[in-house]
Amino acid sequence: MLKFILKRVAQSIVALFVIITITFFMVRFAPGDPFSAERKMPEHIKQNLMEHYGLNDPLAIQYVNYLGNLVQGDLGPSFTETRSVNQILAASFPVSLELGSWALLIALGIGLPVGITASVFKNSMADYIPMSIAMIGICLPTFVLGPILALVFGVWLGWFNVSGWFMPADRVLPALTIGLVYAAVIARITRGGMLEVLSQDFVRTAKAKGVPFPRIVFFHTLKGGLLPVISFLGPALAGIISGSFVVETVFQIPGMGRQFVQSAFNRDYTLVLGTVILFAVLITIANLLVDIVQVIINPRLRFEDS
Amino acid sequence: MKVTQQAVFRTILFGFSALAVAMQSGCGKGVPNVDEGVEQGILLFGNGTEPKTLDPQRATGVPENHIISALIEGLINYHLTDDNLPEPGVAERWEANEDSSVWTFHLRDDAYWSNGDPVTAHDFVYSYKRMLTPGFPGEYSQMLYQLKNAREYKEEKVGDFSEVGIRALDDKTLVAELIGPTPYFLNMLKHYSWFPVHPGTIEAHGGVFDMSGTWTLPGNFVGNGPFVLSEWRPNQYVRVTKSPTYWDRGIMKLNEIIFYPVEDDNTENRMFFSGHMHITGTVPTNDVPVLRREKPELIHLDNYLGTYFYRLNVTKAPLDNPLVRKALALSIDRQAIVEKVTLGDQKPALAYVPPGFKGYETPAHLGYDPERAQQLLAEAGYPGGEGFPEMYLLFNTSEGHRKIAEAIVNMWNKNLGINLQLENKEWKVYLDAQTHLDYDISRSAWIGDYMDPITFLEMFTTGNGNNDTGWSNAKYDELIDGAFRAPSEALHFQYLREAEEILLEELPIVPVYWYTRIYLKDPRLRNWNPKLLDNHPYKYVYLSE
Repeated sequence: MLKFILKRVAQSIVALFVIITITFFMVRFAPGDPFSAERKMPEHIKQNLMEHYGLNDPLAIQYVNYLGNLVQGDLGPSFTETRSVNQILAASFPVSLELGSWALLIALGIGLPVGITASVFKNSMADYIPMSIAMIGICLPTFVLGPILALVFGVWLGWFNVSGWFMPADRVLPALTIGLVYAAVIARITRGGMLEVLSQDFVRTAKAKGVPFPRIVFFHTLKGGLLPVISFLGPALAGIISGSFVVETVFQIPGMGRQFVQSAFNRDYTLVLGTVILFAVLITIANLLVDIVQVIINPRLRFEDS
Repeated sequence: MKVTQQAVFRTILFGFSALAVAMQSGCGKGVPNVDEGVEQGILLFGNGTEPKTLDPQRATGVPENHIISALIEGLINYHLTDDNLPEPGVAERWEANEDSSVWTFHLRDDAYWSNGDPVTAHDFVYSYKRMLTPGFPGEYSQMLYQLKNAREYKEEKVGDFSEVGIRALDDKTLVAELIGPTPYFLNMLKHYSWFPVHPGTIEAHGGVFDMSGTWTLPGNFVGNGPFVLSEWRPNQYVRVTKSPTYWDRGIMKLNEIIFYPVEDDNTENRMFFSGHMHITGTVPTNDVPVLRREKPELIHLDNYLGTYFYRLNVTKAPLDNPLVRKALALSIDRQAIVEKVTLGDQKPALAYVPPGFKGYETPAHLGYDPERAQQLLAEAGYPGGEGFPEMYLLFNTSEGHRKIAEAIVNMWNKNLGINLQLENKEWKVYLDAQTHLDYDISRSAWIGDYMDPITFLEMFTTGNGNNDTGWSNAKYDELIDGAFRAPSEALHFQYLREAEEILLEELPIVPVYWYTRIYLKDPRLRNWNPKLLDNHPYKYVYLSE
């Protein structure tokens, strides 16, 4: 297992390096620069700024310098904020992580039971109704659901603040917005995975042997039925904890999703790279965790094979 | 099996409690709502975007201006009701020589920095020197070029700062010698590029060239304004509290202002209607007609010093022909645009410079005259739009700009028989295209910096970085230069008016409408008057039932 992990880590480092390189050059080739604005600054002042940030050096030298600083853990200054990229990410990532964790909890807490119930009571009302709602949930984008929740529970009922990230209660609406959408997806995947396992021979055998049905569901089929959910959770986990631009904008949350999008709009080269690197690392870790969990759950897989 | 179940249970429990702890940490007591705000004198302010910097000498944006003008005070303040009038700030009184080219300011004795230091004339000299230091990236440095030899010093043609027209005669007397007569100098001084910075603080945090902006963080920031910076939580809020050292603190009723950087106008709208904001930065366009009908006491539409216009690339045929440009300008029904498309009580721009400058009457020329436009287009060689080449109308991606563009393209099609394609680009790509004249017609806008028409007209001089049309007119350049040095206000305005006449005759730009600032305001917020530059002296503002 250690060998497997080490191998995967080595692969990840290569992948990260490629991602950094491609991102570095792609943002530089995008039209515009961090200092362009509707009211243009005088050319000599712009040159001073470019000089200060080393943007007048040949691109290759900038690239080498960037990698040099990166190895020391320095993601550089932001071009549009008073804080450095390290400070921005250090402040915004924990917020997204927390929001994402709540959302994930909601997604699993609702998605798994609903999916399992639907598969057990296949083709009954307990299947059709939740699955139809889930379908709506999948189709409903967060930029619709978020404002609706804020309007109903914030403006009309006054139960929660419509925005902000100050009190524990401020977590509820944004976490629900993200969580419900993921819950819908998870419910459908769970149902599919469970149905596949429930139709297999060993389940019939167990039934024939008189094993109580709940025991069959929870101890015999759940492990196998959840495998598709776990594969889905890998990339989803990275996405869910690295912040959502839409939800953070709707609820005014100081998370990483907005930094990700705004930095690209602002051509804030270092911040773009910083967010991309963090996101890439998260995806890599999440996928690695999923691989490990899958092998543990599914005895048909071995670390060497995967 | 039992043991594992317990372990699972324990892990889940631990996860929950860890999350609960995470939830409690990092979140304080919350923020006040509007009623608590009224009780405690805390203004909750929708401020658009997160400020990029709070350094007045590096800032450029409107949200930055809103915060900086609470923290720092210049020589002259904004007046409570009229942007044309000066109000004493750090300068208690002032006098100018007879042609308004040398100004003497007498600083008040009770002006203090928030750390207790007195505000001196030397502080202003230090600040302007910092701004004008070659290599210092102050984007508004050129505002200070009104000082004699300032440009030369910045461009390293003059090496000795003592030759620049700013001097401290003693601790409380500041003399500014200008490049020429500048009757509107007091209006310029209200702009934050003329604000002082505290020399000791700058030097203690890396000196003039420090780019990290450490000195602007809470705990470090030293200002001389009515408020001090007490908290800056990026993407959450900036909180300022009443200054214990401000000279006019006796009249202040506000204790705090919380500036919320809310970019989404719908979120801001919800914050207002759920009682979490006293005043918003804007109103979602679609809500404006409804709110005007149903909540007229809450929605405000104030005239604002800005022009929405289209730039025409005069280096490209057929827009190099003034007849074509005029035909385009005369065939826009501006009244219909403001009544049916923009919906915010904007005013049809019959000229370029918006109304409101005291002493300046804008030459309002641009009517709606489709017949005349057709004649002009025929004269230019495109009768009925025949043979008119394919052109693109460029705008930065936004639903509002698209609607206006669609309406105008439709008018041109109907009135002139010409077809234009719409082309939207992402903001920075659009800016890049405009700078490199890589467009036919491009949506643009300009907001005035100070109360003089020159803030609008200067940009279309030859080679000005903000011209972006390829247009150049020697007579125009001469008039603007003359206006900068005109010995009397009357002559200054006369030059400017003649310059604008040329601009409206040549039409490198097609004005569309004059802006309004649209916002929601709690009726309990007092002394918040309609202001053309949207500057509200916070020391007079208060909240009361």
